[in-house]
Formats: sequence, structure tokens, C-alpha cells
Amino acid sequence: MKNIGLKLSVFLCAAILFSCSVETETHIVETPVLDLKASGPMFQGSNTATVTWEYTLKELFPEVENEIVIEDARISSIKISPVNNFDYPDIGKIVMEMKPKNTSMSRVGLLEENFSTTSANGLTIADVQEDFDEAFKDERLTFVADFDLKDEEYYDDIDFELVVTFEVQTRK
Amino acid sequence: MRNTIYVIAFCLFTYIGFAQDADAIVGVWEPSNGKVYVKIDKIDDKYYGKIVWLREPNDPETGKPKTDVNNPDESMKDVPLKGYRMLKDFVYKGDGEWEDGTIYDPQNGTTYDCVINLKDENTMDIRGYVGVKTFGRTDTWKRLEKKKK
Repeated sequence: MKNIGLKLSVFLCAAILFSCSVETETHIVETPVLDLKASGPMFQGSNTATVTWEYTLKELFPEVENEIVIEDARISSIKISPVNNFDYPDIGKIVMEMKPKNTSMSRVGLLEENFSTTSANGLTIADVQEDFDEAFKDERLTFVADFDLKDEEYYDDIDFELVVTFEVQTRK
Repeated sequence: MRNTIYVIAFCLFTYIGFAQDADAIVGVWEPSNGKVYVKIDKIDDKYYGKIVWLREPNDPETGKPKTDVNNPDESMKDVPLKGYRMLKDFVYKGDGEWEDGTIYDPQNGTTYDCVINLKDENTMDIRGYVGVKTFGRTDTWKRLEKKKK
């Protein structure tokens, strides 16, 4: 009797959850190649490069006919590449943070080895990505890269190419 | 017409004064324990602080640079403490007070709500709390000044 009650409760919960679930569609959104820039002079230790990506949801999801409702968003890939023919100083680990327009800054990735000046560098992506759906709705994201300059000093600006890929779920 | 110009000029001067006040916390600061130096910068429209110097930069057990081993996110435990952004998202509210920010304590991997009060040009009170400002702890930080030659 007890078992039947339990099964009935589980069935009811499942039925409620199913009826409340929203049908979504997953989109892969890749930023254009962004110019991640640090202004010199810089000194040994942590220095910061930033770039802001502005967009509209309408231009990202032209195929969505109804009102665009973001149900979930998360970063699936971050790649930092060297700019061709740029003479880089010695650079170590890179920590990437994302600052939306209206919500809090959060850490999104880490380059665990030294920055390669000959090929694209893929960052480890943070497991915890809270409120990214809200962040994505802001239509303005600033990416902040803290990189470890190993040289004693460097007097020019430093440019990197940044591409971030998101997995975004919109309501159908 | 003349009144309009006066109003615009007044608003402009007030805004410039407010912006200058807001930037008053930009610089390098030392907490009372003297274990780190924290550099506060402005990114976009908010203020952030990162660790730029550690008294003990290396882990005594491994001899390697200290990392954020207490971070609750397993994937971010290798983030170096030197360069760590521990103050985030502060907004200037006027009267020498910055609010809506957070402070991260790498010793226990916890993030607290935080407010900053500038006492004078070189001293600030920084209060971390959970939920309500009453239940928290205040530390006094000193601005790191250039050594006189």
C-alpha cells in the first residue's frame, strides 16, 4: 500500500514536471574574431587585456519568429590566437573573465600552460556558469583576460584574437 | 536660453566631480594583514581589484606559485593567486561609498557581499558580509604610497 502511494507521488511529480517543461531549441553562437587588447607599458606579472562584444538577439537568431526567450546559455569554447607576424613577449597562464552589462563578472576559462605564439590556445572552461542566460540577454559582454607577463617589461600594446562559442537555448 | 546653459553647465560640472570621486579608490592597497597588495582598476563602469603582490608567492610544500586551491569550482583550482581578481563589481554610490560588490577570500574559497568606505585619500574600510551588512567583518586597507627617495 505504502509502495503504491510512493509510486503515485512519483508519477504525479513527473506529470507536473513534464507539463511545466518548456520546449527549447539549441543554437551554437560563435562571436566574430574579437580584438583582445592590452595597452602598454606592461610589467612582469598579471596584466589585463579587454574587448567588448555588442550584438542584438535579433541579429543572432534571425530564424526565431516569435519573441526571443533565452532559457539557458553556457560557454562551450574559448580560443585565444596570436595575431600573424606579431612579436609577442613571453606570456604564461591566462585567466578569462566575462563581464555582462547588468550582471556580475564571472571567471569563464583558464589557459593552464604558457601562451603559444604559433597556434590557437584553447582554454579550460569553467564548470560553474551561473546566470549566463541573464548575461546573454544583456547584448553586451566584455571579456577580460588576465595574462602573466614573464618578461620584465614590455612597452607596446599587445593584441590577441579571441573567439568564444556559446550554446544557447531559446524557447520554441 | 541663458538658464538652459547654466543648467547644462551645472550638470556637467557635477558629473565630472562625481566621476573623479568615483575613481578615488583606483590604486594599489594593502590589507591590515599585509599578506597581499591589491590593485583596484575600473573596467567599463565598475571597479575591480586584483592581487598584484603576495608576501609568500609560493606554496611552502610544493615550492610552486600558489593557486586558488580552495575554489569550489574544481576546474578553476589552478588559477594563480597572483593576478587573482578578488574584488568585483563595485559601483560608486556617492559620499565615498562603493556598493554592490563582492570580495573573495582565497583562504576558504568563499565570496562575500562587500561595501567600501573611503575614510580619507589613503585609507578605506572594506566590509565583507553575508546577506545583511550588520553580520560581517570590517578591515582597514592602506593605500600603497611611492617610497620617498
